[in-house]
Amino acid sequence: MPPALTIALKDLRLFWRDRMALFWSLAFPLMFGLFFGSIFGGDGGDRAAMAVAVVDESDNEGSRAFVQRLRGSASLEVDAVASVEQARAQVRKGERVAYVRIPAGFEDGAIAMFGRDPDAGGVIEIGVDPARTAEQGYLQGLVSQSLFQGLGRSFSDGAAMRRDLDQARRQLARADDGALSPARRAALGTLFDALDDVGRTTPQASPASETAAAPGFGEGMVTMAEVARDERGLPRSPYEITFPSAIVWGLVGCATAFASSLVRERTAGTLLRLQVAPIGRAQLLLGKGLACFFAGIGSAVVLLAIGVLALGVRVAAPGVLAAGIVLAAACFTSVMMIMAVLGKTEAAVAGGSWVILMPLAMIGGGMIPLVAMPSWMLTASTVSPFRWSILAIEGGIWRDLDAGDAAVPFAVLLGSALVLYALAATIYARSRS
Amino acid sequence: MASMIEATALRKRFGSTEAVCGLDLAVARGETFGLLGPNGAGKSTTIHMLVGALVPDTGDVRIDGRRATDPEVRRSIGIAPQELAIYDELTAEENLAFFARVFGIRGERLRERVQWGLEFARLVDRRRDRARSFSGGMKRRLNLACAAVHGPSVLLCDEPSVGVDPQSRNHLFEAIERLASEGCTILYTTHYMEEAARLCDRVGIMDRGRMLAVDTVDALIAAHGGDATVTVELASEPPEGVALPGTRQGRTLAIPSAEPLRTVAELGAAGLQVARLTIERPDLERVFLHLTGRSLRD
Ligand SMILES: Nc1ncnc2c1ncn2[C@@H]1O[C@H](COP(=O)(O)OP(=O)(O)OP(=O)(O)O)[C@@H](O)[C@H]1O
Ligand SMILES: [Mg+2]
Repeated sequence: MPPALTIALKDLRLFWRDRMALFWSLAFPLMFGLFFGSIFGGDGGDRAAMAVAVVDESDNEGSRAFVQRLRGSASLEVDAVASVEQARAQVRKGERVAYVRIPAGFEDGAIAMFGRDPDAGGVIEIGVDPARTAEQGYLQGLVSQSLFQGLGRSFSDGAAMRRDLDQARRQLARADDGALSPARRAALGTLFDALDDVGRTTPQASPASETAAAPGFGEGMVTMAEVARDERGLPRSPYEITFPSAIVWGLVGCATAFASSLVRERTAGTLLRLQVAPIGRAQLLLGKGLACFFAGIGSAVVLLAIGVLALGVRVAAPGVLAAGIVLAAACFTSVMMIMAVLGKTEAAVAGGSWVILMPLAMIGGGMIPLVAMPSWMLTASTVSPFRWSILAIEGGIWRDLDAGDAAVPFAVLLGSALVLYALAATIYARSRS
Repeated sequence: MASMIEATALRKRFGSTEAVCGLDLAVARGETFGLLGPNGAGKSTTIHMLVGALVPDTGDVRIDGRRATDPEVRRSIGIAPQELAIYDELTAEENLAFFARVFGIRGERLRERVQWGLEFARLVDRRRDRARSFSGGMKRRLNLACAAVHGPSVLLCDEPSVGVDPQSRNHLFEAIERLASEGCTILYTTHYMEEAARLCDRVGIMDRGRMLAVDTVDALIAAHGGDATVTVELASEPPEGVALPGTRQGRTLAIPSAEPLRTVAELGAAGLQVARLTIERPDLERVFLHLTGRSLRD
């Protein structure tokens, strides 16, 4: 085993037994990710109301009544949108969960329920991401319910119902055989007659139940359109924004923990033993670096695993993510080495670490997410390894960058890791008293 | 005999402090050499320069005829720093294994040497306890064991007995004597003269960065210790007309003498009634006082 590895393993063991180091490199970043993730936008599951875009292409009395009923539902947050293209785009981008399209020629009430050939158009279209099965079923139920409420109104008003039925009979007569099978035509004719009788015998029927959504009854009235949400390049949950920061905070925790380990060895006198041992100073520094690097990777893997398994954080581009974590860990390892070789006392290193790292973290996206930064701050953040680390890690989590897109953050991280390492090694070589 | 440790005209300055100024030192192979001096004498600085951890401003160091920076030489050096240079959060066993590994020891020999170290430090039954939980004496023993775990032929111990109770101190001395009997060359710094007198073949007396005298303990005392002191407490007033030697304080006489037994015989012949009699041989403390005009410890 090379001496650097012997030293690295010893330092990892010490790190593992150091509660403060573990707190700053695991517990604190996790709390950061969870806390900020939960205050930005709550928990994805219990959203207050489902945001739905409504496109009313019919714009008649019936359609307006229908939209009004949709608006009345506490479970929906309905916004009118001018065109179906616009609505589809909104769903794709995740701005709305779904859209409801009311096509031209929509008829509300009994007509809508029975008098219409589903293939003839005028069918309500729900556009939703097929992956979101829960929302899809729920929305379908809500739309059907609103339609049946229209039917209920027809039943409660005999005159309106007879008028609707007459219209339905005329449509039935006009419909050609290709569109409507003879059996269906006969069945509908019988049904209309029966309903006509009901209307006559009970002219003042009691209001029908508002929730008479018999499953299957409104079949053919609603079609589902699949609008795959394009999640590429968009965070799906606040945790996807807070966890890359949390991972970088973990790297910072590791860097500060290991930065003081060299000074601690000096004050404890163990450094003297190591200087006497037949290992070079470069090996010693490399050993510390390896320990910090592996601790950083370990912390990142643990945080990521928690994010993925418990909070649904994606790994959109595993290769980019792995490379991003490795390069970010390397960069912060080099930052650690600079602090380690410059500091003369443990207090100086601890103080110096925070003085150097806090501002870099602040402007680099450690507190305010990069996506929410004002532009001046975004510009300032280019000097911070925090920013490039977050970009690289986000690139693998939700930005879904390919290697080409990620080239800039990767190059910055690798370049600064190498430059800082060389600088640290030079300072260390010269510091020999 | 060729010197195992040889330093010539070593000089080291820290800012305005001359920590070591022109020090010559030669320790023979297999010898136990004591470096005796008060706080700030430059003992630690000297040791650090000997092992190559500190670069002297001028002067030259040779270990077994070679430079201390030579990896082969380094493998044969062990150092027990003045500070407790062990990892508190590692167990006794882990500390020993780590320091053996950095000296390139592997496999079966590693196991053997760790076991040796645990026995040497008398920590076999505490092997899996973290050093943090050890008493000061246990830590000191572990500190020394870690220095010798790789089986060095040159061992430098910087005040290894500081803060150790008399019993642990005895264990420590026995451990060092055992290493010496196995042929290890030992450089031992202390400001306790009893330790130097017990352990060391030769002693160098150091003060303010300079080596004032180097020799065996007996030779140093003979050369710089001066006379023994015979102290007599008289039982009654001396007879009239007897001339009393030395200085008198009440009934107590203090008589410096190169031949104390003869002095006692003369006192008896003079007819003095003696209640109590002590003979104090000169010691290293007196040597130091004589050489520097100050006592070894304030
Ligand atoms: N790194 C350093 N920087 C500045 N001065 C130092 C340094 N190391 C030692 N000195 C000074 O050099 C002198 C000799 O110190 P040294 O530690 O060698 O003494 P010592 O004989 O080991 O003392 P002690 O018995 O207290 O351990 C002291 O005056 C000390 O203040
Ligand atoms: Mg000292």
